[in-house]
Amino acid sequence: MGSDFRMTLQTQMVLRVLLSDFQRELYGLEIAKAAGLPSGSIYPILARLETTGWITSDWENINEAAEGRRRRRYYKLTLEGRQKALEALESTKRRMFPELSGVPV
Amino acid sequence: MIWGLLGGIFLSLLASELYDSCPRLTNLLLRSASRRLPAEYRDRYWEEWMGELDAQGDLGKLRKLGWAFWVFLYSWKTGRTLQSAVEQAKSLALARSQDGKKAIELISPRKVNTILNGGLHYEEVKDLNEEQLDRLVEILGSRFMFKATRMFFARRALESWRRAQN
Repeated sequence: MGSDFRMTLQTQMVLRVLLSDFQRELYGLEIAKAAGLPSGSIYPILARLETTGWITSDWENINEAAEGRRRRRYYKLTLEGRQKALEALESTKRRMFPELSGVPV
Repeated sequence: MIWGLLGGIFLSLLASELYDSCPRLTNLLLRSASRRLPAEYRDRYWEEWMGELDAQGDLGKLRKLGWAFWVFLYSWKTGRTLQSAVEQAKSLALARSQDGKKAIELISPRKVNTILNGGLHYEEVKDLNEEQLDRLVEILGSRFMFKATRMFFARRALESWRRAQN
């Protein structure tokens, strides 16, 4: 399966984090920490995934004054994105490690 | 001895001054980073980054500055990704309009390079009026990376073609 963009190692790491708990929404810093990437470097990846429709994002619904902090932007995989991410990761794995094909991503 | 002492005091004051201005530098970096994004996305990312800055809690000022530096460094890439999405959306909207459709039918994407090299064929654009030609330039222009450059070359190619026709 061809993805809609270049599947870099960093993109794969971000996708793995988002796939690890598909239902959970994460904000940028959390994703970066979990993926082990410099936090500022993930925004181009998130922007690319979002513009291709693999992920979606939304503001958290909080009372900023009561919480004492600004609202965060949360990201999660779309249904289509989840499917495509699984296929892309599987396809990358098959290409790079043919002996591991069949082992879950 | 006295100079060493004075130098030490001066350096320590300078370091403390720099440390105190970290939040201002952080804001400056994030503001500059957001300015590198297409206008449609600036406010959203500015707010998102400020939210993430808050999310870092009590981390030192220097670490926050470091984070902002990374954001700034990669904002060029983020901007390019978002810019291409914006242009794609605009081209799509344009292509959906009647004139845009006509222009696209007349010139297939694979001919864009030929056109920019000056090889525009009369038959392909002879029926377009001034406004349609402008739109065509816009459509052709959206296929290249640097907008100013590509618009310049696309327009120049069209103008030289028209001169040749006259």
